[in-house]
Amino acid sequence: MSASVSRPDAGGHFGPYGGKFVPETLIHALEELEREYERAKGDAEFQRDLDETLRDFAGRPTPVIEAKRFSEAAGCRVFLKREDLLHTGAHKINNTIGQCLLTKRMGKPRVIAETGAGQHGVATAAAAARFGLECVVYMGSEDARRQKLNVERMRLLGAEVREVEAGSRTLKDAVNEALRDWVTRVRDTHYILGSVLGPHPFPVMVRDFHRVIGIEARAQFDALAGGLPDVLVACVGGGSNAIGLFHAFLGDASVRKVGVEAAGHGIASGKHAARVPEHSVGVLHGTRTLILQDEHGMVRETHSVSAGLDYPALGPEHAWLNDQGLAEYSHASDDEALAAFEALSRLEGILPALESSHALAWTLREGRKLGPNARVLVNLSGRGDKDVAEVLRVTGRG
Amino acid sequence: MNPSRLEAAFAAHRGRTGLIPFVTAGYPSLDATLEMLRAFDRAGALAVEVGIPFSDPIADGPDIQRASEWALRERVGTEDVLHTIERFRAGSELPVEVMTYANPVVRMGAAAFAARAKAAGVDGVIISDLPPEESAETWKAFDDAGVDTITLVAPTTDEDRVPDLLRRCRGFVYCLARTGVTGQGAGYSGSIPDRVALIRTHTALPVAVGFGIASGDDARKLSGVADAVIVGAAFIRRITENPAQGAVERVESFARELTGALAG
Repeated sequence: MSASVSRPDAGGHFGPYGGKFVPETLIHALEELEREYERAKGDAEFQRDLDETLRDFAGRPTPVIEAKRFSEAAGCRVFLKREDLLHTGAHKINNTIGQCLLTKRMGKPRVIAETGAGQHGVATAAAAARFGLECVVYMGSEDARRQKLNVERMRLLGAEVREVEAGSRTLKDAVNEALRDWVTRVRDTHYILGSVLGPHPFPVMVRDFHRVIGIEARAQFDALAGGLPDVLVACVGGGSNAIGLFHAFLGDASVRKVGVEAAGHGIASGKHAARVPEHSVGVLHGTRTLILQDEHGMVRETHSVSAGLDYPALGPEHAWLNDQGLAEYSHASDDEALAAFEALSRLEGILPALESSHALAWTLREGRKLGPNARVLVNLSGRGDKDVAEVLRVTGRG
Repeated sequence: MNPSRLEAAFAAHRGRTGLIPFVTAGYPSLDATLEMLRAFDRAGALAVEVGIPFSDPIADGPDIQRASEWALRERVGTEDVLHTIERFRAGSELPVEVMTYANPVVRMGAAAFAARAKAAGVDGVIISDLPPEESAETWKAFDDAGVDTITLVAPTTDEDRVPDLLRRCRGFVYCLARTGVTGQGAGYSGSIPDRVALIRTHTALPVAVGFGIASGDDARKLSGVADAVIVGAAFIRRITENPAQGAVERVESFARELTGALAG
């Protein structure tokens, strides 16, 4: 099976990356989570509950469509995996449903989450409501300003949103605060981490909950166009939607896998969230991976127009895939992402999330080099309704 | 081999519960930190713990977070902290541990960090987010340099894990009084005397208790239970009252209050 290409050791290490770098207080909870997840994987009832909820509550499967007018603009054949059609508007719900089901199995009444763009927070709030769990979401106050609509959605779904004023007031600081909550209330609380980040078993577990993206896409692409795509493209913050798409194709060397990081105002400006170009190894939020840091090992502030990509650490499995040459990583700037946002909206009638717009931007930039016969499958990881106000603001129309 | 400074200090305090105060280096300035270390020595502390400021201190509550942010704004780096300890060491034999997170150590390189710390007169190191199963080379680097690695035992640590933690422990054992972050009363505690007794069945090392100990009364309750109490955020709050004036005096006075409570 293709997933065996990238399997961590028993401690959750992908080569030099990953692991479990947490305060001692959390070790018990991580071990409990790992045991419960292993049991759940082999439990037919859990799998049935998961599949049913993904189908009836979240709306799986999501289709793959060919984007013909966008293809003309890009100069290659572009296909879209429509994760934007899922309930709550992004792929994030695949994971939050899985983790809420696990929380119920562990008998914990309370879940917490961090959120950047708000998509993971909304997806957590929705799943928590569905399963009757108390829910607290931590969000940087700068992100809360950029994503006001999602803050209100979370509150309507019954979650308490706690704005975080520390540091850069973005996703990194929200994760810090969520970890502090968890280390305090670990006995009655599960932390629903929202990406393929953090200590083991989160990177593996969150990946597994998103593998459905690639499994569906592989069969759908074959039915629609025949065979395999030439290129997979996905945006990478922590990297959950990308790993979810890539994983079903890891055994296929002929399929290029491109992760697109946020170049913000450009790599040279220092105001970006692209970790791969500097390739600096560090430990942040429980995992060893590529991070943006200064010479003293202090984590740097990042910038992206997209709150969901505005984060200094890359998922550890992506760092490993990069080093092994099993996937490649590029980047797109704020301006390129905004242009792609407008292009998809006008040409296909779909408002893409600013995160996903980075993957579209790469396709617009590189499509002509790939040529008109190249078949590129882009993971449209989320919809852009949440971004309308921010797009108008940064383009001077708001 | 001569006993380490930590061993000698615990031996000298045998039968009494000692005080280990914590301050964040560079809050409000490195010179003030140096003066505070000297004040702790005068006040009869058993050892001192110096926090290396880090950008993402997930185990720390608001008091120490803000102290770290202050120090980082003043551009206090790991090397500056070690240099301050070196200045202190020139005039004192009080044991010094540094508390840090994994990333500043990884960034400098564990061997370089350990060697530099040893040369500066650091006796022990606590790495908040480094469990014994991670990064064997880091633990070995401190052993090789002769810097004690102090491991933490949490209220949530399973009993069958305690021996694994103690195998990696040097100097003394840090028993967490509660779950949660530094300086906060929230979190789960359980019976501290029972935890300390459990630890003692597995080790002859001294046991210090910390997290959430904020007053002379809190300290007194642990007198005769632990070999030392660690007090951090409560000192930071004494500085925060007015960082520009009288911070060293307030810190010294609080240290004397605590040593008095422990002696009484």
